Amino acid sequence: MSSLAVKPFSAAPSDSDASLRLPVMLFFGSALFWLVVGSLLAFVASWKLIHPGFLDGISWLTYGRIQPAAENALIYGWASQAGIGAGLWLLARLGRTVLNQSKLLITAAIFWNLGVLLGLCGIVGGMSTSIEGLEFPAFASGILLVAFACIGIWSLVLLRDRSSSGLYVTQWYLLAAFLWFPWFYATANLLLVVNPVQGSAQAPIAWWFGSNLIWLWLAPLALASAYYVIPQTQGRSIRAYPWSILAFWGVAFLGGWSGTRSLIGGPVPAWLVSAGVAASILLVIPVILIGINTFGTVSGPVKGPALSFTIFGLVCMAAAVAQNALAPILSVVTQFSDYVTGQSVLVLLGFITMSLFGAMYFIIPRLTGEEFCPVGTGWHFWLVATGIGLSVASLCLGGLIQGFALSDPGVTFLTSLNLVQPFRFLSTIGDLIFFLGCLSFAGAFVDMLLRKADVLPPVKKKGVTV
Amino acid sequence: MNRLPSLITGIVLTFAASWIGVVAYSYVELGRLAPHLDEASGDVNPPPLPGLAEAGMRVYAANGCVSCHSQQVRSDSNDVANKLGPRPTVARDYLREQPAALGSLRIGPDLTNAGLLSSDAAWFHRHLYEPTTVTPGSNMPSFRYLYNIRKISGQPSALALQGLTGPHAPQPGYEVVPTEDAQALVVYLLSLKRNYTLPEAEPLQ
Repeated sequence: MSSLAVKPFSAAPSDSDASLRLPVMLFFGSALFWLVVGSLLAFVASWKLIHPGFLDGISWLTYGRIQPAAENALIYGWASQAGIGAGLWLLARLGRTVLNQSKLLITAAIFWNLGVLLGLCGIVGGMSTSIEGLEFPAFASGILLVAFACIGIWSLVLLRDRSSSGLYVTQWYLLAAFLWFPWFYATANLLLVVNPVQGSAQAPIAWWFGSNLIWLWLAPLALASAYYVIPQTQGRSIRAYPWSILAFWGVAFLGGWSGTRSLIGGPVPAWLVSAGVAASILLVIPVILIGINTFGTVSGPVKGPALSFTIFGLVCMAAAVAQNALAPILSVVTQFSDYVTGQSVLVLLGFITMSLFGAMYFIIPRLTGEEFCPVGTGWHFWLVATGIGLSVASLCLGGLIQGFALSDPGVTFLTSLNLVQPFRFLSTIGDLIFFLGCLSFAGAFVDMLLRKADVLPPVKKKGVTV
Repeated sequence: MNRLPSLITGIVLTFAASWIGVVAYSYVELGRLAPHLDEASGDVNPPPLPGLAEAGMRVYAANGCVSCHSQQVRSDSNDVANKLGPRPTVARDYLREQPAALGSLRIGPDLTNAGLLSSDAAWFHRHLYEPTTVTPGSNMPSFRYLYNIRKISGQPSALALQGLTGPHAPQPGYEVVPTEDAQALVVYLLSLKRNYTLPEAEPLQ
């Protein structure tokens, strides 16, 4: 079964690649657009935090709207779409499935982008629901769900029609993610936005949603790619493959429970918090297994962008899980401090985003037959890696100092603010470097498309692309 | 061998565990909490919200106040010692909040008991209009888009902000009047007082 992943790919794009070229490239291209938008907004928000007078007094540019807009652009515009694109390609490739008609997927991609656009306009226009990760107004999340229904159905069709019988762990993660997302996204929207439950019940549901968004949606998409990219680039099968299945069930079971960890000391029954803490600690076990599978498969120097980005992402995942497991010890200091922001940057940018970059570097050349310009790739890697590293390090360190100051009754709030300010400045520089890195990737992507357009005859062969 | 059906069953069951454990539990147990009637004083706690407060909550949400301000006094922490409130908050405190803006960051101070900081609406208005004139060194952005600057014609407005200083203070002959949103927001902030007792909460300090 695990040998599935090591069959060398053919030099020419296969039929399954051809049938999916347009929808997957559409998902990737629009994901990159939102990545640039989201990282720019994130930089503007960070800058406003240290210079509150910057662009102030304008309702749609206020920090409380720009910051969630940036986060949602990165989650739904960038990471989700990049993951969906990679996921569809992986399902088709692993199942040797040829999708004869992809119009529905293209329509779904357009609708998904429409939902993201309307959602972001809703947030900056003052219609935010103010629930973390769920700020889109209900009409926008509704569009996302409808678009997702088409995508989810296609993913199931791709799995059902596969011509290879076994199921590789990549397919497990993808099937699960495509089933989980509509379930938890609809649940959270229904109970928190459309027909909200009483305020006293909202916090645990909101944190449950937050952990699902990471562990049962974005992380499975990233891991599915990693489990394919690593053995393929290494030309050997996954080490200790059976453990990957164990790890899969670990993530599946623990992911949803781990969210209430963030409510330590909060207004919820103690057992809910304990369950969250226990799940966060236990999550270390599947992540160790994933580490053995992935790092254990890599031998020799890490070469090529697909592998470098993937490895960087997995290292960040391990660091993030370790941070979560330490929550019961650290949270009395770190809770509510910039450390929390550092943790989410580590997960969303360090782990998810970097893994998805790796997936795109693997998939796009196989779809287009064109290689990325190595200079652009190098700039991309070092800029985003430096940006993420600087942001995470300064936020976590500054957050610790701020946290000690905040919890000390002898220190005023303004003193804690002054202490953390230089670290916020550094993390803003990190955001800027990250944005420049994203820009260079988007540039390399456009450059490749332009080269591709030069090579290809203007009239495409009928029935291949669409 | 097609293992797809059993795989799907497993995927559904693992997910259902936390769906039932966290979501359904919260929905049933916390979602049905009722206000507490204090037999001795006849008070209902948490107290019903004043008229405009509900609209104010929506302004609070629309402008992302929760991005910087938490509303949560934790137990087993220094929060009470730090004077964030007379006692840690419990689930029932959020009964009337929509949405419950517990927040995850304290980029700005906790607002669980904002109404205990000051009972002066004008103070909140001045603070929202130009934060640094009220709290020097504050990193809160100005919310002056919630206020109208207009020429005084005839009688000045009774709602107009008094004693404004700083670069955005009105020119002579002009006044700064809060919009309905600003008024609702301040009513909501003033209503934030968790200084009542509940049987399940720790005693007041």
